[in-house]
Amino acid sequence: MNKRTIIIILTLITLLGGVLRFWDITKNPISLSIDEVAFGINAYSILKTGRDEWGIFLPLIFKSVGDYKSPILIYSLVPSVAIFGLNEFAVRFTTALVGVLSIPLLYLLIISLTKKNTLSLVGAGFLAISPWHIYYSRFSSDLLMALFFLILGMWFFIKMLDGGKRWAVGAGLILALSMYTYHSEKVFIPFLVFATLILNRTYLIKQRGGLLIFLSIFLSLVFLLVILVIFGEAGTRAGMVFIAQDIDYTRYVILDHLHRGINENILLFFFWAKRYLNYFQPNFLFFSGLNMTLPGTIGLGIMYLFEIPWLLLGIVELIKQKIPHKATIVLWVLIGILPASITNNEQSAGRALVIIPPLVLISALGAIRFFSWIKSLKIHFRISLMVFYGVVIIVTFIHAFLIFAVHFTYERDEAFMAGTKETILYAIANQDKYQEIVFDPKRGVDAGDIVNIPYAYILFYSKYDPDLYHKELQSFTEKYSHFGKFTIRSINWRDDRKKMGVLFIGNPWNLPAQDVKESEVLKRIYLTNGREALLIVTPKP
Amino acid sequence: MMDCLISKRFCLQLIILVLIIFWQFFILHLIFPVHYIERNIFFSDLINQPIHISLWLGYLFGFVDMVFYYVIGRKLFASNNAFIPALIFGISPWTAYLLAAGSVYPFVVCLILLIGYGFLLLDSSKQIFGKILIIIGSVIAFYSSLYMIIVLPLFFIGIVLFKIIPLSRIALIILPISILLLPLAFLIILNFGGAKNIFNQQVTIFYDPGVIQSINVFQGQAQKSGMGQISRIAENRYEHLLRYSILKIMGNLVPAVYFTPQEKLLGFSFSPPIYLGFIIPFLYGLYQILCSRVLRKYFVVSLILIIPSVMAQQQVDLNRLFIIIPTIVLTISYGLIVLYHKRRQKLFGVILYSVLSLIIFQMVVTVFDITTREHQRYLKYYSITNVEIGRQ
Repeated sequence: MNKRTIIIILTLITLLGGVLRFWDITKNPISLSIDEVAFGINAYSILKTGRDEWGIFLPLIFKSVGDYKSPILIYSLVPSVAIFGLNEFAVRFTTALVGVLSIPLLYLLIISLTKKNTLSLVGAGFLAISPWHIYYSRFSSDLLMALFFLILGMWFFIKMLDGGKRWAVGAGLILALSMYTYHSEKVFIPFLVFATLILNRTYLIKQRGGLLIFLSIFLSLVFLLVILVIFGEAGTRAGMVFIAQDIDYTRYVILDHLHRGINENILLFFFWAKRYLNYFQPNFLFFSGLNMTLPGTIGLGIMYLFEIPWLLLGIVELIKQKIPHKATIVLWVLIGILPASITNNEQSAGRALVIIPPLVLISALGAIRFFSWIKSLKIHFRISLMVFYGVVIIVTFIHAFLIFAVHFTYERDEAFMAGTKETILYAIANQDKYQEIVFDPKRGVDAGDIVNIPYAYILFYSKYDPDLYHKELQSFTEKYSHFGKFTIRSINWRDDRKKMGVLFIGNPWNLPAQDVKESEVLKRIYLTNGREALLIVTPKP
Repeated sequence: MMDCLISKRFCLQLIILVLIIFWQFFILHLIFPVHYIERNIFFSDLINQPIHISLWLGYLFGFVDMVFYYVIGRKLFASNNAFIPALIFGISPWTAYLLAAGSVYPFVVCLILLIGYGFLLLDSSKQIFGKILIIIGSVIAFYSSLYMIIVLPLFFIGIVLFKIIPLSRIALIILPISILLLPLAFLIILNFGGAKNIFNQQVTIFYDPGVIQSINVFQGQAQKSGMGQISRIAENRYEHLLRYSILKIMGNLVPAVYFTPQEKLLGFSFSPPIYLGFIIPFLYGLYQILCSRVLRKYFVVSLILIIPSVMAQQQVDLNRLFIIIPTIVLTISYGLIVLYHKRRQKLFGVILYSVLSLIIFQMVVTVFDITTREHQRYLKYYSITNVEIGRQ
């Protein structure tokens, strides 16, 4: 295949990936999530004042909503917000762009790992249509940006291993940058890098120069990160999500009411092993790993159903074929699951995203083998099998399209805080009519226990002046916050119903139908499935 | 001298087997006494006479299984490695828990091992004996369990399709089996309603109401969005049930089910069915098997044994899945033996000793965990003090 053909095919694949990521991006997912809004307001605040929402000048860790976000995505959003303004498109643009750019980048990475053109093109094509990658490209996510830097950094790194000393600086910088972008990479990259270096040690002894440059840059940047994690607030997030906090573990394994002993930590090791192997479950891989539909339904896995034989064949081919960096590919999968497995989720598609490059590569290997086997069959079998498999692929794509376009909105809109924007816009449009606007910080159709963070949505949609907000920060506590006309606190309707001239926005649990008069209800906000999510009310005499 | 060595080896293996039996008794004694509701064997249900495998008989079949593993081990591996399959089977919590709970499946495994041993003898001088074993094992299995009516014919078909044994030889076995099954066939015809009831009680793969309801919900959502037509193509009942079946089949074949407490033994335990350390020899043994044209045919055919678990309502039924333990145990044994033979190569030596250390370590941890926490876990999951944990 000549270079021109490769470029044309790669361009077409990238364009396809672009369409799948950018199409209707502001409406699907239906609303900005808490994280996206938090990214947006921090980027806006940095743009206007150089400080984050809490007034800290150019922080390396963003306190945000108490989850201490990594800085890279927020800083990368600043140009986008400057160009497009503070809106849904600006917040999602950068991640989508990075998702699209990952496609040709993966081509380059696979070429450097395997030296095979066809495999690299097929791999890039698989990434372009990967439901896993598409899902995380369509909303602002630091883990996708970290993956981009990981692919870029590993490309530089493999080039360096193959004798290119000039790639060492880029490898060190970009891999370290990836670690600054998301938490999974903080654990994953050091392990993968050092395992790969050990595997290639005899060769590297001859390439000492490049290795020294790489290590000095990488380690010095990582050292700073380690300081931040151990002595700063970056470690807070890690503590919050560590596997020892898992409810399943504390309540059902060690039975927290029993006296704890030494073997509790030993049981944690076996509990972790269970979690680790869970990532190889077919449910996660092919049926509902993306959690785009409710539990118990067959939604979308991280790979398509028709990739089952390709994945299995790919594993066989990976074992059989002579591939230059085979061990690195295998280690990438095995180590890549480690960060996700030590957190308190049964399975997290986001935290395991680091393994998408080798998975796509293995699937592509299997697909090539599969189709060359079909080509070797007699004409009748070949046609029958191609038709059958073609039908399977089409049906799977239709199902995937329906999941993205229809069912995801119906079943997961509450997870993306659907309806909050409408309440905020209503409050902003009518704020002159009221002396105070009170938002309940919780919502939830089933129980009223989902944390809403309405202050972030107010700042976002009102494009609240960050300077003014920084001055008003002193009045914030955990249960109460106030800026401008807006107050964030729990609504207690029995007392609040007497407060005339105040607008209340809350959930049906805090504003129950039997206590709120119909004349007091100004607007009801419904989810896509028709259930009432939020109410806007004002007391009437 | 050779005779002396051989008899010493045999004595050592016998001692190991006895120790395994004592270990089994020890674990059985420790496990909190829960049990399944007794299940009648198939033909006794048809004639309305309750005949079930009692607890002590279940224990006996468990120990007979170990003897079968030893005998099969002698046939498949060198005689000094024969105790390994029996050891793996004997020390696994899966065996102990199901014996303690009075499961019927150790008995079914006994029949499967009998049939398997019979097949192994077909290529030896004891062909006729092998055929007799296959016939006896198959007939008893058909009369004892509804699933064997599905599993065994598929098993024979697989053996023929994969050309493991020629059709002409199988035919000589199938004919007497068919004749001996005539009374069962008459019983089923005469009591067709009863047989159908038994079938409906035991084959519950699609009984989860959520499975069908979810497709109705999906179609409703697509209809409201104006995509009802394309939803009918890709999200109809048949397509959905096919996906669900594929999910169930694959779900029964993942390592996490066998080597971690993912599915919880008896519905509440944290003990793994097979110790985690065995996963490495299992994967290595599997790799060796799949590299061999002959062995992989046997392996693929043996996967039919997951059918009873696939037919259950839950994703994985560890009780029914027990009948595939011979495949798992023999694969682990093969991997362990090859690792042992390569132990002088540094990497394999390190792996082997790490594996053995992890297994012994987890055995000790499991014993402590059973004594300190299993009873509380049972109470937490079942919320009652009644010791029955449901139907088989």
